[in-house]
Amino acid sequence: MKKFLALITVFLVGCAGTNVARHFPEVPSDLQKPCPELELVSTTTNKLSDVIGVVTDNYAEYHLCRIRVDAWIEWHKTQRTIFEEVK
Amino acid sequence: MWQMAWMWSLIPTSVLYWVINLLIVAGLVGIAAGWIGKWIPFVNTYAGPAKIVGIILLVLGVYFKGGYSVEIAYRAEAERLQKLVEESEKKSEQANIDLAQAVKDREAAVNNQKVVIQERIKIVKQKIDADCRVDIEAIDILNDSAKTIKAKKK
Repeated sequence: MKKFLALITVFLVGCAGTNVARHFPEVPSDLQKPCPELELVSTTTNKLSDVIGVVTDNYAEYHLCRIRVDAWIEWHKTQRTIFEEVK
Repeated sequence: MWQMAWMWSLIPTSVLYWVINLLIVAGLVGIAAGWIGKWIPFVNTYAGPAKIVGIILLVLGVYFKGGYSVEIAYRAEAERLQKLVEESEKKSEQANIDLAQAVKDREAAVNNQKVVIQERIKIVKQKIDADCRVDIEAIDILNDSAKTIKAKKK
Protein backbone atom coordinates (compact mmCIF):
# COMPACT_ATOMS: atom_id res chain seq x y z
CA MET A 1 0.00 0.00 0.00
CA LYS A 2 2.82 2.40 0.92
CA LYS A 3 4.58 1.62 -2.38
CA PHE A 4 1.34 2.24 -4.25
CA LEU A 5 0.89 5.65 -2.57
CA ALA A 6 4.49 6.53 -3.41
CA LEU A 7 3.81 5.60 -7.04
CA ILE A 8 0.73 7.85 -7.12
CA THR A 9 2.77 10.82 -5.85
CA VAL A 10 5.28 10.26 -8.65
CA PHE A 11 2.48 10.60 -11.21
CA LEU A 12 1.08 13.66 -9.43
CA VAL A 13 4.34 15.53 -10.11
CA GLY A 14 3.65 15.12 -13.81
CA CYS A 15 0.16 16.60 -13.45
CA ALA A 16 1.28 20.08 -12.31
CA GLY A 17 -0.22 22.67 -14.67
CA THR A 18 1.57 25.62 -16.23
CA ASN A 19 1.48 28.66 -13.97
CA VAL A 20 0.78 31.49 -16.45
CA ALA A 21 -1.26 34.45 -15.21
CA ARG A 22 -3.99 35.81 -17.48
CA HIS A 23 -5.90 38.98 -16.75
CA PHE A 24 -9.50 39.61 -17.68
CA PRO A 25 -9.48 42.28 -20.43
CA GLU A 26 -10.46 45.78 -19.36
CA VAL A 27 -13.66 47.32 -20.69
CA PRO A 28 -13.49 50.91 -22.04
CA SER A 29 -15.03 53.28 -19.48
CA ASP A 30 -17.42 54.73 -22.10
CA LEU A 31 -19.16 51.35 -22.32
CA GLN A 32 -19.78 51.19 -18.59
CA LYS A 33 -22.26 54.07 -18.58
CA PRO A 34 -25.82 52.75 -18.17
CA CYS A 35 -28.54 53.96 -20.53
CA PRO A 36 -30.49 56.83 -18.93
CA GLU A 37 -34.24 56.91 -18.32
CA LEU A 38 -36.24 58.46 -21.13
CA GLU A 39 -37.14 62.13 -20.77
CA LEU A 40 -40.81 62.86 -19.96
CA VAL A 41 -42.91 65.67 -21.47
CA SER A 42 -43.97 68.33 -18.99
CA THR A 43 -47.68 67.93 -18.21
CA THR A 44 -48.08 71.71 -17.92
CA THR A 45 -47.49 72.28 -21.62
CA ASN A 46 -49.75 71.81 -24.62
CA LYS A 47 -47.26 72.95 -27.25
CA LEU A 48 -46.38 70.45 -29.96
CA SER A 49 -42.86 71.92 -30.20
CA ASP A 50 -42.18 70.93 -26.55
CA VAL A 51 -43.46 67.40 -27.23
CA ILE A 52 -41.34 67.08 -30.38
CA GLY A 53 -38.33 68.44 -28.48
CA VAL A 54 -38.62 65.72 -25.83
CA VAL A 55 -39.33 62.98 -28.36
CA THR A 56 -36.32 63.88 -30.52
CA ASP A 57 -34.10 64.05 -27.41
CA ASN A 58 -35.28 60.56 -26.52
CA TYR A 59 -34.50 59.36 -30.04
CA ALA A 60 -30.99 60.76 -29.64
CA GLU A 61 -30.64 58.94 -26.30
CA TYR A 62 -31.74 55.73 -27.99
CA HIS A 63 -29.07 56.19 -30.67
CA LEU A 64 -26.38 56.84 -28.01
CA CYS A 65 -27.50 53.77 -26.06
CA ARG A 66 -27.53 51.67 -29.22
CA ILE A 67 -23.94 52.73 -29.96
CA ARG A 68 -22.90 51.43 -26.53
CA VAL A 69 -24.76 48.12 -26.95
CA ASP A 70 -23.25 47.62 -30.43
CA ALA A 71 -19.84 48.47 -28.98
CA TRP A 72 -20.32 45.82 -26.24
CA ILE A 73 -21.07 43.22 -28.90
CA GLU A 74 -18.02 44.32 -30.90
CA TRP A 75 -15.86 44.30 -27.72
CA HIS A 76 -16.96 40.77 -26.85
CA LYS A 77 -16.31 39.42 -30.36
CA THR A 78 -12.87 41.03 -30.58
CA GLN A 79 -11.75 40.04 -27.08
CA ARG A 80 -12.98 36.49 -27.58
CA THR A 81 -11.01 36.17 -30.82
CA ILE A 82 -7.88 37.50 -29.09
CA PHE A 83 -8.48 35.20 -26.08
CA GLU A 84 -8.82 32.12 -28.28
CA GLU A 85 -5.55 32.85 -30.07
CA VAL A 86 -3.62 31.85 -26.92
CA LYS A 87 -3.29 28.05 -27.09
CA MET B 1 2.51 17.89 -4.66
CA TRP B 2 2.29 21.31 -6.29
CA GLN B 3 4.33 22.73 -3.41
CA MET B 4 7.22 20.51 -4.47
CA ALA B 5 6.87 21.60 -8.10
CA TRP B 6 6.72 25.21 -6.92
CA MET B 7 9.90 24.79 -4.83
CA TRP B 8 11.62 23.25 -7.86
CA SER B 9 10.62 26.25 -9.96
CA LEU B 10 12.47 28.56 -7.52
CA ILE B 11 15.81 26.84 -8.09
CA PRO B 12 17.79 28.11 -11.12
CA THR B 13 18.03 25.60 -13.98
CA SER B 14 21.86 25.45 -13.95
CA VAL B 15 21.93 24.70 -10.19
CA LEU B 16 19.35 21.92 -10.62
CA TYR B 17 21.34 20.45 -13.49
CA TRP B 18 24.57 20.27 -11.48
CA VAL B 19 22.95 18.97 -8.27
CA ILE B 20 21.20 16.13 -10.14
CA ASN B 21 24.33 15.18 -12.10
CA LEU B 22 26.34 15.22 -8.86
CA LEU B 23 23.76 12.88 -7.26
CA ILE B 24 24.08 10.41 -10.15
CA VAL B 25 27.89 10.57 -10.16
CA ALA B 26 28.04 10.20 -6.36
CA GLY B 27 25.67 7.21 -6.62
CA LEU B 28 27.83 5.54 -9.28
CA VAL B 29 30.99 6.24 -7.28
CA GLY B 30 29.33 4.80 -4.15
CA ILE B 31 28.30 1.61 -5.97
CA ALA B 32 31.74 1.26 -7.55
CA ALA B 33 33.42 1.85 -4.18
CA GLY B 34 31.17 -0.77 -2.60
CA TRP B 35 32.05 -3.28 -5.30
CA ILE B 36 35.81 -2.61 -5.39
CA GLY B 37 36.03 -2.09 -1.59
CA LYS B 38 35.18 -5.75 -1.00
CA TRP B 39 38.70 -6.76 -2.02
CA ILE B 40 40.58 -4.00 -0.18
CA PRO B 41 41.49 -4.85 3.42
CA PHE B 42 40.23 -2.49 6.19
CA VAL B 43 38.04 -0.62 3.64
CA ASN B 44 35.85 -3.68 3.05
CA THR B 45 34.02 -2.93 6.36
CA TYR B 46 32.46 0.13 4.68
CA ALA B 47 31.84 -1.56 1.32
CA GLY B 48 28.29 -2.70 2.20
CA PRO B 49 27.04 0.70 3.50
CA ALA B 50 28.82 2.52 0.61
CA LYS B 51 26.99 0.31 -1.89
CA ILE B 52 23.61 0.95 -0.22
CA VAL B 53 24.20 4.72 -0.07
CA GLY B 54 25.38 4.61 -3.69
CA ILE B 55 22.23 2.81 -4.83
CA ILE B 56 20.01 5.28 -2.93
CA LEU B 57 21.85 8.28 -4.42
CA LEU B 58 21.70 6.79 -7.93
CA VAL B 59 17.97 6.06 -7.67
CA LEU B 60 17.32 9.58 -6.32
CA GLY B 61 19.51 11.08 -9.05
CA VAL B 62 17.74 9.19 -11.85
CA TYR B 63 14.34 10.07 -10.34
CA PHE B 64 15.25 13.76 -10.15
CA LYS B 65 16.71 13.62 -13.67
CA GLY B 66 13.25 12.60 -14.90
CA GLY B 67 11.65 15.37 -12.83
CA TYR B 68 14.24 17.82 -14.16
CA SER B 69 13.35 16.97 -17.78
CA VAL B 70 9.66 17.51 -16.98
CA GLU B 71 10.51 20.78 -15.19
CA ILE B 72 12.51 22.06 -18.19
CA ALA B 73 9.67 21.17 -20.58
CA TYR B 74 7.22 22.83 -18.17
CA ARG B 75 9.29 26.03 -17.95
CA ALA B 76 9.62 26.19 -21.77
CA GLU B 77 5.85 25.75 -22.13
CA ALA B 78 5.18 28.37 -19.44
CA GLU B 79 7.54 30.80 -21.18
CA ARG B 80 5.85 30.22 -24.56
CA LEU B 81 2.40 30.73 -23.04
CA GLN B 82 3.54 33.82 -21.13
CA LYS B 83 4.75 35.39 -24.40
CA LEU B 84 1.44 34.60 -26.09
CA VAL B 85 -0.49 36.06 -23.13
CA GLU B 86 1.60 39.25 -23.21
CA GLU B 87 0.99 39.60 -26.96
CA SER B 88 -2.74 39.01 -26.52
CA GLU B 89 -2.89 41.57 -23.69
CA LYS B 90 -1.25 44.16 -25.97
CA LYS B 91 -3.71 43.32 -28.75
CA SER B 92 -6.58 43.54 -26.28
CA GLU B 93 -5.44 46.99 -25.09
CA GLN B 94 -5.10 48.24 -28.67
CA ALA B 95 -8.55 46.86 -29.56
CA ASN B 96 -9.99 48.74 -26.54
CA ILE B 97 -8.31 52.00 -27.60
CA ASP B 98 -9.69 51.60 -31.15
CA LEU B 99 -13.16 50.76 -29.89
CA ALA B 100 -13.23 53.67 -27.40
CA GLN B 101 -12.26 56.05 -30.21
CA ALA B 102 -14.93 54.60 -32.52
CA VAL B 103 -17.57 55.00 -29.77
CA LYS B 104 -16.53 58.64 -29.21
CA ASP B 105 -16.75 59.39 -32.95
CA ARG B 106 -20.19 57.75 -33.24
CA GLU B 107 -21.49 59.58 -30.14
CA ALA B 108 -20.18 62.89 -31.47
CA ALA B 109 -22.07 62.31 -34.72
CA VAL B 110 -25.33 61.62 -32.81
CA ASN B 111 -24.85 64.70 -30.59
CA ASN B 112 -24.22 66.87 -33.66
CA GLN B 113 -27.38 65.52 -35.26
CA LYS B 114 -29.27 66.25 -32.01
CA VAL B 115 -28.17 69.92 -32.14
CA VAL B 116 -29.22 70.18 -35.79
CA ILE B 117 -32.68 68.76 -34.98
CA GLN B 118 -33.10 71.14 -32.02
CA GLU B 119 -32.25 74.08 -34.29
CA ARG B 120 -34.78 72.91 -36.86
CA ILE B 121 -37.48 72.69 -34.15
CA LYS B 122 -36.65 76.26 -33.04
CA ILE B 123 -37.10 77.49 -36.62
CA VAL B 124 -40.57 75.97 -37.06
CA LYS B 125 -41.63 76.30 -33.40
CA GLN B 126 -44.06 79.19 -33.87
CA LYS B 127 -45.63 77.62 -36.95
CA ILE B 128 -46.29 74.19 -35.42
CA ASP B 129 -47.48 75.62 -32.10
CA ALA B 130 -49.94 77.90 -33.91
CA ASP B 131 -51.43 75.05 -35.93
CA CYS B 132 -51.60 72.38 -33.21
CA ARG B 133 -52.26 72.10 -29.50
CA VAL B 134 -51.54 68.80 -27.74
CA ASP B 135 -54.14 67.34 -25.41
CA ILE B 136 -52.92 66.49 -21.87
CA GLU B 137 -54.10 62.88 -22.37
CA ALA B 138 -51.76 62.51 -25.34
CA ILE B 139 -48.88 63.70 -23.16
CA ASP B 140 -49.86 61.22 -20.41
CA ILE B 141 -49.88 58.33 -22.90
CA LEU B 142 -46.53 59.42 -24.31
CA ASN B 143 -45.02 59.70 -20.79
CA ASP B 144 -46.41 56.32 -19.75
CA SER B 145 -44.80 54.70 -22.77
CA ALA B 146 -41.49 56.38 -21.90
CA LYS B 147 -41.44 55.10 -18.32
CA THR B 148 -39.45 51.98 -17.52
CA ILE B 149 -41.61 49.08 -16.42
CA LYS B 150 -39.90 47.05 -13.73
CA ALA B 151 -40.42 43.29 -13.75
CA LYS B 152 -42.25 41.81 -10.80
CA LYS B 153 -40.04 39.93 -8.37
CA LYS B 154 -40.81 36.22 -8.16
